[in-house]
Amino acid sequence: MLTPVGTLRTSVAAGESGPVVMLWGEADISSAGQLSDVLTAQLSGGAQQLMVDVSGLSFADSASVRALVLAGKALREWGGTLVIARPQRAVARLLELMGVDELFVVQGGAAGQARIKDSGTRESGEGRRPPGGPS
Amino acid sequence: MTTNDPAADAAGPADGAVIADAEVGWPSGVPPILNQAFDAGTLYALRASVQAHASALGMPDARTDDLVIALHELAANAVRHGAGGGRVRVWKHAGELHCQVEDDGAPARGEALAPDGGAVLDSAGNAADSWPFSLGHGLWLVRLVADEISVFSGPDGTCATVVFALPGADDAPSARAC
Repeated sequence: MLTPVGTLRTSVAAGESGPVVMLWGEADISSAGQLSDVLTAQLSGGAQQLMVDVSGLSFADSASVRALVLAGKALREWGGTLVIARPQRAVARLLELMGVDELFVVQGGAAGQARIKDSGTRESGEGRRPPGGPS
Repeated sequence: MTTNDPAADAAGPADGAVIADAEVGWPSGVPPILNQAFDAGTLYALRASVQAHASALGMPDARTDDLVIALHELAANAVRHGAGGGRVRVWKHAGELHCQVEDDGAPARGEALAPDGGAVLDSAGNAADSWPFSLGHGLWLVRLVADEISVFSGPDGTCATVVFALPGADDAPSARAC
């Protein structure tokens, strides 16, 4: 069966240091509950090191990142870490804008190439240039 | 609208709808390049349309990401805090994209609206009447990435307008930032 466009698909695999949650498609407010359920299930299962591989995710919104933040905070309280792996450009950008790329460990992908601080961009007007793209 | 009343011409736009349009800063009389309804189940289609239009106009990929993030977050706010859906309109005007996101009506929770029909908030606005800035990151994110933002709340709902500059010369579709 074909996956409907605009939906979130998830799967969980065993990684070297803990479970790996893999995400595909697009994660937004309509799938934030689904994402939260998947993450919560792993936390309930006792995972301390959780990797979320977002390489298949072309878009995530603030509601989705909030679900990741809650999981990351819970893990941190238990001495664990949440690793976001291989974000595409748009997802890396949102993590950066929300200031949570430093809360998680973000590995690979487009992360790190757009490390600008955007707190004042709205005053900069039409001359504003985007951070260096992947070109 | 035509009129034979010279007083009306001298006074400029007189009915409430036209005044409201002018206040939120998008060009009247210009057809939008995108005019799309959305609800909780069609936000992905809205994102795809916005991305396609921005790319076709030569907006760099990274800035297109910002535009998609901004309009999605505004639309998601309308879904979540408004009446469950709304409409996005995008105009190309003077080297900029003017993007309007309006919800389908007053918030279901009946939050208080300004009795005079609403208030325009600038980028420093912190007291949105029907889309609370304090709830979540949505509007806060929009303020980070948009060149301009205004939010107009009235008895019929909330309308947010964001402006994104296009690269290069206006009306030059072949202009690309290389």
